[in-house]
Amino acid sequence: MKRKKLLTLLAVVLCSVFLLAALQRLLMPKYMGLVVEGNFIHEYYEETSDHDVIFLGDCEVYENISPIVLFREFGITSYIRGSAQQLIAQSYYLLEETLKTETPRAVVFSVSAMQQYEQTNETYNRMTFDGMRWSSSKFNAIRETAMEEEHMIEYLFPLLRFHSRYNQLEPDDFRYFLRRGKVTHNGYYMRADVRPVGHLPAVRRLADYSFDERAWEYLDRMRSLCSEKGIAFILIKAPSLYPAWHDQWDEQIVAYAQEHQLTYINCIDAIDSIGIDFSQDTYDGGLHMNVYGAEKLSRYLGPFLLEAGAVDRRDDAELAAVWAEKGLYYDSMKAQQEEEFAQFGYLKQFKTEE
Amino acid sequence: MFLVSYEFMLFLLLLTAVYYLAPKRFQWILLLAASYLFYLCGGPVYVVYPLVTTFTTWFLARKIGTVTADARRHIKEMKLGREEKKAYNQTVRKRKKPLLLLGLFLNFGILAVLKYMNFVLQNTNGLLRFFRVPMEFYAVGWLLPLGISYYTFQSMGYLIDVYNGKYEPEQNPARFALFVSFFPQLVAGPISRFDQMKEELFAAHPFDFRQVKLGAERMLWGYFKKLVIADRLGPAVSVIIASPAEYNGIYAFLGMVGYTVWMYADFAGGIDIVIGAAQILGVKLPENFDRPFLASSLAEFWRRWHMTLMQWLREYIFFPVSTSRLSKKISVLTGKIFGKKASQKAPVYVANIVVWLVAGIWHGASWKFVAWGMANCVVMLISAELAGAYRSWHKRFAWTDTKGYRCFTVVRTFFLFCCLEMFEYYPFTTVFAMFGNMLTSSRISQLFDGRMAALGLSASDWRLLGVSVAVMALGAVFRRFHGFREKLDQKPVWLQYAAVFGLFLVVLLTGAYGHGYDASQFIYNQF
Repeated sequence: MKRKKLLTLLAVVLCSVFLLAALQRLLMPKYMGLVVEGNFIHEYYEETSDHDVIFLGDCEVYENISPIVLFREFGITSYIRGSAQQLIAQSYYLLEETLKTETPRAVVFSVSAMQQYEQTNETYNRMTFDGMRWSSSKFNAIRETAMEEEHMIEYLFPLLRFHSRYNQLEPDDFRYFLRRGKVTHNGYYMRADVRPVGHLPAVRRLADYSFDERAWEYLDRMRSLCSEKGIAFILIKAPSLYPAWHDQWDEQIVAYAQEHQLTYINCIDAIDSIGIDFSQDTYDGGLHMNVYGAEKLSRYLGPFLLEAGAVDRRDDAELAAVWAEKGLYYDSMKAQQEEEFAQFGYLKQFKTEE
Repeated sequence: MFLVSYEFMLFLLLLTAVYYLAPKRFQWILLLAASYLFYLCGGPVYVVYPLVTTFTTWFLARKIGTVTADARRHIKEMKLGREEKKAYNQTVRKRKKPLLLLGLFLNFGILAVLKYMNFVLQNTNGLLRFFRVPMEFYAVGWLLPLGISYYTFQSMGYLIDVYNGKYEPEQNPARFALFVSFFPQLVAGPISRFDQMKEELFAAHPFDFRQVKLGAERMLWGYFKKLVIADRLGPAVSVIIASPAEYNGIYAFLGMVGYTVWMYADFAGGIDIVIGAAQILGVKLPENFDRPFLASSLAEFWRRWHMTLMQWLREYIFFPVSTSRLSKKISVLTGKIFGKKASQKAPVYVANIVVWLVAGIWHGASWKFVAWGMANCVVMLISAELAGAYRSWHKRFAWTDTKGYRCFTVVRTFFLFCCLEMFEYYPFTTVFAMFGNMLTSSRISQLFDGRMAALGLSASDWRLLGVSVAVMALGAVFRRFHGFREKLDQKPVWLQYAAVFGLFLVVLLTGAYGHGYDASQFIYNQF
């Protein structure tokens, strides 16, 4: 009798957990339409080989650097751990998490994240955290950067956050219920459409150009983490024309890099050397690179990364096979996007952006 | 900490685990600690007021108890005769009365100052302006402790009961502190009596799976009312009642009915959560609602709605006022002018007016609530006056004894209550204007003129509300919910599981909570 009761209880618990897990999976956004950034962070866990270089930051890394080009042309294995409006504290905890499983030779951090320490939109936090695996790093990252109205329990059980999507479900929610497609190329978000630079808003002067103390603290923590493991820590500023990267900000980063003997690559100063043509190499009027701009920037960065300790791994047959497969996917997506852009003048997936 | 928050659920879960694992003799101490922790979540200052009320009430009740005990001993020892006993009791009452009055003055004083000071100052300023006195008092920004009206009324009920010798005062201040501050009922009642709660709070409660299950089910039902109905309907109703000029005609009708449903779902939902949480801990709290919308008269309605407050008012205001010396004097005076019949009714009238005045003021520091109380009072007294006419009407027409007529009286009472509620949210003069507008300018076509969209609810929200309100109403019509739960408890396990898990999913998915929703406080928390 007691055994029967226990079995019933167990069956009830299992059924409930299964149903709730299935509901949660169904109701969580799939990020397979216009917005794909919610898939960036979790794709890292599907990696089968380690990386010599890890890029950290927001759109200034995941839209501007192509790991495929870095491998093809320099033999550098790399991964971009970035998501939309990824805060510096989030980059730190992603780095901490990454270093638990691999030790790259160089870590490249995009300093544009220094300008904003606190999150302004919950959606960005969700896109970063929902993709992260549970660990102390994720817990601390949420605790440090969650907005006031966000609750830890809603990250533990995302169903509590997305419950009201029950009446907004779309075909994608069912199509990608079991498995979502791969949307990045080692964290790189490909766009092969072109929208030349047009009118850019006037640069606004700021009352105070100093970065938040907490941003400096996390930059220090990232540097220490790398230094402890003998990893080269490189700072980079992407060659975007907007939002403005003020000289006053740049001076602070230059001073920091000099003080700690770090490499700082300000790509805005190297736009000509990189060969960026803002009438061809951007898909959104100069904010981010398209695949052509990203490939040029990757070619420019390659030698710096080799100098920082990354090595040419093209001779490693096993790695070469892995990267060849990645390359095929990269080429096919690029070809498909080029074809669509040539035919329609836009990419179908992002049609509503127009 | 709100009753509708993750923190509260975690708090209750942890407390339940510790509560049943702890030695039974420490259970009430755990409840006391948990109650103060719950209160502390609002800020340390909030604890001061209930502490003052607890200590002063306990101390004065003990003093009163000592006087009563001494008197009983004296009567027993001296073997006093009936007349001597009566005379002695009079002197004892005289000794006890200052203690009672001190307690009432102090605690109702705290309530009055904290809750009604600004109301008094506003009206004083109005009078000063009227008499052109160049003086103005500034509003005060004092903190209003959580549930102050509830614990003050509960404590004062205890003090009066001890004064009347209904039961012995509690000797242990910590035990009395638990009675005042028991956390589930702290925010929205029900208002309990010490003799009802003593056994419940201080007895040992071994773990009883069935009680925990029934309590959790009751909480779930409360969350359904609160999250699925009240918090979805509330913002839309608020828009309607905030702009009477814009939302008139059929919208005034919609607002009137919506407000009543919103308030019921919010308040009754909160009470279900409170009673369910207490039941999980093995404590049985008194019911506060008994399917009020099935009442066939307003008097019956008020015996079914906010029952513990109405019982309190009846016991501690209606009866003392109707038997007071002042009432007797008024009765005599009325008799001289209007005759014997009026003389008999006068004390009841006086007591009713005082009760509804207090009920109105209790609901809020505003003339709107006074008007609401008086409107209820007038309707109740007219109904009482017409009682004879009703009786002859029922005798004369047999069809008034049918189910159809009974349904009519239920619907009539519902709409009467809805109309009276308008005094709560519209200024006095607006009530009549809106009522007239509702009767003369309501058109179904107004629902499609675009104003509906501004209420912030989608078509699916309205559908969901319709179904949920129907479920809530059916639940009340068929049977009181705890009866339903007990019936369900006897069904096969799979059916119990399906019913409870189904309701859980409904609340989980369709509840208006989390990101994008305001963490809505209960309407009755503000009291």
